[in-house]
Amino acid sequence: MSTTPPGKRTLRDVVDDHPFQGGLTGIALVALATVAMAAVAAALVGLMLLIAG
Amino acid sequence: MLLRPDAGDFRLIMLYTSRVVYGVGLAMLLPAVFAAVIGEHADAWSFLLAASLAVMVGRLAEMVLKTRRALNTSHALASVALSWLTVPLFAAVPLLLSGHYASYLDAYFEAMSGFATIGLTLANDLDHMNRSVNLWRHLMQFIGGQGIVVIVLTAFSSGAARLGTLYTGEGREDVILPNIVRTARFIWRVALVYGVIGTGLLWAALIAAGMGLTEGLYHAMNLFMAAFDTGGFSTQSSSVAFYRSQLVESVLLVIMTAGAFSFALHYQLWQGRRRELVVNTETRTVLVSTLALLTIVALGLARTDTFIGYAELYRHTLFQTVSAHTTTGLATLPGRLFVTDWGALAPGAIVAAMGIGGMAGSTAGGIKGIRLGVVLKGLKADIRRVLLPENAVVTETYHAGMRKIVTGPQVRDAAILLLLWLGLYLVGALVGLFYGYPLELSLFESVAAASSGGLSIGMVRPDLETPLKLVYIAQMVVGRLEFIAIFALVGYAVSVVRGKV
Repeated sequence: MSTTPPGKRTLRDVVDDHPFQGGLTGIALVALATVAMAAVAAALVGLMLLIAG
Repeated sequence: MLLRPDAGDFRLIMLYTSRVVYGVGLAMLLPAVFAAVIGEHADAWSFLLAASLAVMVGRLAEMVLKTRRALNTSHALASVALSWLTVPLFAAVPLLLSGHYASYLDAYFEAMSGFATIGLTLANDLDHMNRSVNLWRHLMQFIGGQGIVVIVLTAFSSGAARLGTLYTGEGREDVILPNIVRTARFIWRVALVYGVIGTGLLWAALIAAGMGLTEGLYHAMNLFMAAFDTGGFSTQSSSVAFYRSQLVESVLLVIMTAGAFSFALHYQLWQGRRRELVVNTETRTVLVSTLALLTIVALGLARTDTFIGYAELYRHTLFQTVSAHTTTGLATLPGRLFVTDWGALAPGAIVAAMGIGGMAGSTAGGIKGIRLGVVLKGLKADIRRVLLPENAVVTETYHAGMRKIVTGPQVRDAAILLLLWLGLYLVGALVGLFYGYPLELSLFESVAAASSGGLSIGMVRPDLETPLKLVYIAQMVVGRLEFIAIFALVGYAVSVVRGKV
């Protein structure tokens, strides 16, 4: 049976062998994206409301 | 020349359909056990009856229809469409027996709304519905969102390598991994891992909002299925407003966003490739569209003075726009307010958000970000061709995992699908107008049904005209399967009549 060389993670490592680790990374990045979008939206909406008076 | 299909073709289509029915029959055992455990015995028997019926039909068909004929593309597409029309027939039985639906058609509508992750409901007295029935409503969204056929691929995978067309026929475009079965399993892995994490977070948020441990877990599970599969059903008639918690809404925002991301993008994110979030053309298109529509909703609401203070306005605007754009359909407000208190601009932007929808290859519906992105890039290339010297070479690229050149056929395909989607939205709106509903109501409800947006302004209720219910059911399944599989089934029906032997 072939073994993975030590060091760098392979696709199979994360997706098949450690799905929970992959899932945590994935959901953390989705959360980050959502927070960033919400922050930009808050600023944009605030600015537009100020302009619109 | 159109060839008339023979008995063997129908045998094969029905065989695969019966396998899907069998699979969903087995899934009904879950709410049956849940009902028995929590003491909802009448519902336990209903689920057992419907499950037995589906399993029996599935097994009998397997025995009678067994064939050695190989599945071709048209068989596969027709099987997918027929499965999606047949499965709700069985799934509706326990709903009807629960006593919360006025007719079998209403229960069928609910089941189709569940599997197609629409979120429109015809349930009477939702707040007093038994828990097992509510669990089944949400489970249908989970099963349908992941893909009924994906279940067949993963659970009964022998020879499944030949079933790629079944997978694509269910409205999924990208085969993430080289093997179709591995792709299907990855989709389930994403759902289950996010399920554990998302349910845990929602459970904690609900407890923080004052809910008990058991009660919180039940609501968290259902909320997760409704949000991640962009379904939009709720255990309460007041939807998310019932929880009165900003924390719950925040967690739901993340889960809805995750649901609207394509599984191909999740595959990249699972490997920690953050850059894909920024460079992916579809992510960018959806982000820009969300920000633009969110701003329009806020401006519209500011003009109508619907909310007092910026914080309240922003909170509802953010949640409703994201819910609409991801085609989830969860709401922090009663839907009727869209008509009575939101003016004209804000509901218009909500309709546009539902119409555009999430990403291709996700559980979300609608036109999809990548198609809009590709059409816009095609338009940009055309404008550049006009402006630049005649011999200039104009190329546009898009990013989906890697950078690719936008080709003419891609733009044409995306534009055709865009037109089909607009046509689908128009059909429901016209039928609504025919029955005397105002344009804004007809269009809102039509887009909600077809795109799987699921937000309702109150037109969809048990006393809705029967032809409109049928049109919405048709819109739901056509939208969920993204046309092709339904066209294949219609093609089979036409070839029976007009085909040559």
